[in-house]
Amino acid sequence: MLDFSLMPYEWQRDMEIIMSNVNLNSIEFLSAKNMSFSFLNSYNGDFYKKILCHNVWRLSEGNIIDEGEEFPTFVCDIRVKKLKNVEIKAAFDYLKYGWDVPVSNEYNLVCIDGGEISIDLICGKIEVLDM
Amino acid sequence: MWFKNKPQKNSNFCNGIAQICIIIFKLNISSQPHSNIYNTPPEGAGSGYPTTRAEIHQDLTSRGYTTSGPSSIEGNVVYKDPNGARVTIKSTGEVIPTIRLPKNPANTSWNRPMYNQRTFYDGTIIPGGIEGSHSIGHFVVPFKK
Repeated sequence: MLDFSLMPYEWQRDMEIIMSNVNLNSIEFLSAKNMSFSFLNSYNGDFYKKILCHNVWRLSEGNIIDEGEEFPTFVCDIRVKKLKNVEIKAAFDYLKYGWDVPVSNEYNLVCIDGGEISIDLICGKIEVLDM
Repeated sequence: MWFKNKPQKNSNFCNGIAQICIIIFKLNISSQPHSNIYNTPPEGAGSGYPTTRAEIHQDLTSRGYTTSGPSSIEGNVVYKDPNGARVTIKSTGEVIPTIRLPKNPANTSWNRPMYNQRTFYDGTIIPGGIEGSHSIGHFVVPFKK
């Protein structure tokens, strides 16, 4: 269970790592609530995977990317955790969601962390696409 | 969450052999982080690799890298040089150098697609064909706040 009272690098250890050491190549809003993140590998720059996040309720992004620098940016780990029970409200509170927790059958926390960028989001269904 | 994967082209047997080869490769380089065959240091470089955060900081800043320090959120540290090279130290202590390369070397346009290529600490490109979370075995002390 995720304990948000700990430091993020501590509670993130309880999440599943679905990708490591890749290039975050693009972030797209496919609609008002659906987002995609595409990744290149770090060996020849070929397309690696894409994550589709449906029903994004909360998105938090921070970076230290210098002005003039472009994607792709290197990211260390992409972690995912299907939230259950008390984790759901705790995650919404942790990311300072300003409304009541929306009704859904599925809640996922996604954390994309690199040296220069950090993205946390809560969404519904997630798809990881190989192409 | 579910995964949509490409159709498997190889037999289970071939996949098994490939997995064994990858594991042997990983064990080989992780057990010999300073002398693996892909990362022979220049002659006279001695032991070569800095092995502590302080040594890495000293080495990189002396070569013009800059850093904003560790993120208090995820504990990663990144050192940047003006040419696009990066050395990221993960909260786990793993040291991951990258350089920025054009996806197509023949493309010389100003807006050519680029990517971050993983390298060993001395800048030697890690051989292709290895994807995912493999480690080259270069670690320093994990981040603790």
